[in-house]
Amino acid sequence: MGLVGEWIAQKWSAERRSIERRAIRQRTALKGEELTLWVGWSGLTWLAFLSSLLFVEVGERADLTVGEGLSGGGLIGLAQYLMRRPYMPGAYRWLVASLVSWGALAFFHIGIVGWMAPTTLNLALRGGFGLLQGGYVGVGVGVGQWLAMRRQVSGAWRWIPLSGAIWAVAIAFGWLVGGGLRIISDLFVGEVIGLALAWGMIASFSGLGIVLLLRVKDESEIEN
Amino acid sequence: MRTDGSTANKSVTSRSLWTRWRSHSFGVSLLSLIKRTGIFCAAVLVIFWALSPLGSSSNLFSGSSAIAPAASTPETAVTQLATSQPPPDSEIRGVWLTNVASSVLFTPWGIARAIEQLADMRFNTIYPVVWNRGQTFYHSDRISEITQRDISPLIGLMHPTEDPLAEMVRRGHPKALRVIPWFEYGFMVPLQSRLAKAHPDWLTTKKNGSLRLREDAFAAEPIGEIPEPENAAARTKGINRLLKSGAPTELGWLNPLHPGVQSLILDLVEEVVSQYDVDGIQFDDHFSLPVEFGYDAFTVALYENEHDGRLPPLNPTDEDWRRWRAGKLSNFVKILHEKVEETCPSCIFSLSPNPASYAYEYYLQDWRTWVENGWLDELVVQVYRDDLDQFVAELAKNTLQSVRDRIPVSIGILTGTWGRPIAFEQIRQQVISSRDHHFSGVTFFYWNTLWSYFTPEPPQQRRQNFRELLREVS
Repeated sequence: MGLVGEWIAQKWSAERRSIERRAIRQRTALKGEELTLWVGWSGLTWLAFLSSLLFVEVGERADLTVGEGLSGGGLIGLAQYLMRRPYMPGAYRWLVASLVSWGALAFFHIGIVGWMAPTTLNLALRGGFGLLQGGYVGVGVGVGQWLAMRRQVSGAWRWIPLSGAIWAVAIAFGWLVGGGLRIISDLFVGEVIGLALAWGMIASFSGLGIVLLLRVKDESEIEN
Repeated sequence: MRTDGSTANKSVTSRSLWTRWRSHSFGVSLLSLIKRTGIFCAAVLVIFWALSPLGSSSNLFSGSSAIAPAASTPETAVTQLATSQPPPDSEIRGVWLTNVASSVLFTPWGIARAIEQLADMRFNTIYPVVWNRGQTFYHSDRISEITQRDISPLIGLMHPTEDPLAEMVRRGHPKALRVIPWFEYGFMVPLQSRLAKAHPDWLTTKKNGSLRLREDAFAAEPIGEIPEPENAAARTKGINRLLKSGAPTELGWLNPLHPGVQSLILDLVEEVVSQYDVDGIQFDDHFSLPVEFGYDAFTVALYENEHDGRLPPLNPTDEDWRRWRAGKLSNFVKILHEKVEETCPSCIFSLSPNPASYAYEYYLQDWRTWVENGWLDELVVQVYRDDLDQFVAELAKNTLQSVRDRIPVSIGILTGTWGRPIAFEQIRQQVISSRDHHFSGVTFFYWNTLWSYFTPEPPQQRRQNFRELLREVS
């Protein structure tokens, strides 16, 4: 048992050293490809949300299961992992972080707000709940993702408040639009459209955030 | 110098960046982006295939996900399977599956998902569309002779290896679902269809020679049995909208009295009951002749021949003229019933008409006579009312009460259309009322508005509500 533990610790430490060594080199590759990363990140994240509708049925809080949290989070994580891979060593950690974060949100009934509609049709309440729930889910997911990239990206902690802010604004917006559409049409599909718009915002703003975080700021960083 | 050098440097840098962007980076980035998108899509497809009813019988999401089939025990399936008639102590719980305003036939997993969920909800009958817009939704040699297309092209594209009817039978029977193909359009046909163009002589006309069915034909007429025009308009508005949803607006009517038309319908029915292991066939209110039609050359000649050379009355609602045409339609029903009985003795001949007076007065469907003569084995009467009192009044009519002693009669309940969502509470009240009036069961129009995003409530809640409602009597 001791030997196995020692072996795992050695492997883990070697992995960390390797990641740190490769981090700057890979991020240098981002130079000139910022637009590609942003477009790819935004597009693929949104595509991942649309694809997730094959596996996750949008509903109210109680309707969503851990399985749905895992599959939704897994698809989003997979899309973002594919985009990050050339620019961040150990990007698989991002995928794992997404899976675990969304699974935990569903497991502890905190709410997988990315696929959830509030029960109320009162727009003022929807806006308020959206800001609150979007905010804390964004922070929760952000913490998981920060853990996944803190070795590779300097100042990665900034991702946590950024994620919280993006999610708060986007979910409030999506729930407002979704509620409005549902009231007008009397069809639940209005909520799905609202969430699709919210994910569009999340995808594009988080893409911008990722580009800013990953970008190498000056030559000295490369030399170091 | 320093400034010059810096400017030159900047200029070189800008140029090199631009050149790099154009000549190398952009192309490589684009390719890389496409590659990553491809990898993602492939991963989604693999996961989907592995988890959906298409690829596996088990999955993570029992009961609640978008693709999830819910568990149904083999014992239940075996107990309920086997006969084309539902057990006498069980109510008919049916649903129509159509291609209009519906995705069920146009997604690879649509049928599998529908069958799984319906079986889980204890449904026991499905009425899948097989005839619509002058096209079949199964492989038909007969229609191919006329239109050179043996199946609707889009359906053929989406189901290259197995047509939808075959898939429904294959998946439905092990789940104890009766599969009763529904000839949705009956005699109605788009004027621009290959069928109408190939046989313009098969189309019937109005007294002014027009071939066109009014676009508001289903909305403008009062309901015969309940004198409430505004409700009639509301009742049929949704159906009308549904009919228009992607459907052709230029609709005509095949002449049910014409031997060519009768031969086509007989052959299509024969194909279905002889080539597929179905439990019967169903026609609906389109298996009729709208009262304003019947002035085509063939019908007029036939009338003259049987009336000492007299022309048909100019008033389409003349009682004798109406009775004569309705009688001719009834004669064809008799022939059709015999054909079904002869080709597939275990198959039933089901009809889903409007309430009796309305069906007769406006569509010349004398289904009371058809029942009395034993030509129908099952009746599913469309009672699409929003107001519960009117719904109940319709159920209490003598005609319905008398026919339910002869054959199984179930009540067709509207669960909504895209343009007219219906809350579950209304559906629940109507199901309970139908049970209180001792009908054989209920059939819902239609699959996509049972539980989906196109309902007022979230699909999970709607499914749960249906589960509880249909469990009450079972």
